[in-house]
Amino acid sequence: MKQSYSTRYFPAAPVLEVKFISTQTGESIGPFSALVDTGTDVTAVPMSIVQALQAPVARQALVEAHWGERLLVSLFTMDVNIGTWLWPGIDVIGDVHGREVILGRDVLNRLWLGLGLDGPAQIAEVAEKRSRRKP
Amino acid sequence: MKKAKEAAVQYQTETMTVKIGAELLERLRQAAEWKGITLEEAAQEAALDYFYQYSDEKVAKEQTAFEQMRPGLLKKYRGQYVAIHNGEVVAYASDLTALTQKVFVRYGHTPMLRIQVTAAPLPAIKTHGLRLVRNDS
Repeated sequence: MKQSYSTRYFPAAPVLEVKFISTQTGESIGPFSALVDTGTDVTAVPMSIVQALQAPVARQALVEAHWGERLLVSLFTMDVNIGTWLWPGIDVIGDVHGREVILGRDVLNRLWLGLGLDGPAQIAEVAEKRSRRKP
Repeated sequence: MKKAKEAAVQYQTETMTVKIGAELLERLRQAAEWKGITLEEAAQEAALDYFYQYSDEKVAKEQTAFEQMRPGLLKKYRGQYVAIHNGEVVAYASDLTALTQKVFVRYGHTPMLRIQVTAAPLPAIKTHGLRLVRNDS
């Protein structure tokens, strides 16, 4: 799965197409162009996605920005789908201010995927690595 | 998932008429006009805002109860996911998906805390991303 960097960001940034699925009903929404952000702990989605899926609230958490500002947020449970991969029951931040989908390390670290970032060509690529073989 | 899907159909409700005062209705109409949306959309938006505010308040309260109960919960549910509703554990499961479906079947869209029972509170979520603000944005 290959996708061009988004020029919505400056400098251009890697993005991936992501769908979100209701853990309760299986209803899905998307795809959305999501920023690949290895500097963020937890995936964030606009509240419009939370509302569309009627995703249930899980808990509240403090989000701390790089320079220490803190913000109380609610986390909502949904399944996350990228290409052929599906991660069930992920708690994502319901972002009441932003309109972007941000993929954090909670999703990026979850499966054994090959994530290629070709900066000069401005292409992000996700490929499934060969399965590990027992020695 | 089958039970959850059945529950989703059960929890789908029909539209209904709610009476609100003429003055409040007029204020809502003005707000809708200013935002360029219909009165129905404004009413829906207001109801959703109210729901999420209530949801945040309730979950914050459940989370305070959870912190007080944490030592006791550790003995029984360590590592499991629990649902706390009105200050009590109403369900538990080994993963969040199973718990979410379980409580949805029983309680529908009622907001409640769903959290893993761990020895220490979960750390704050951190974001290290810095954005340049373009002059044209």
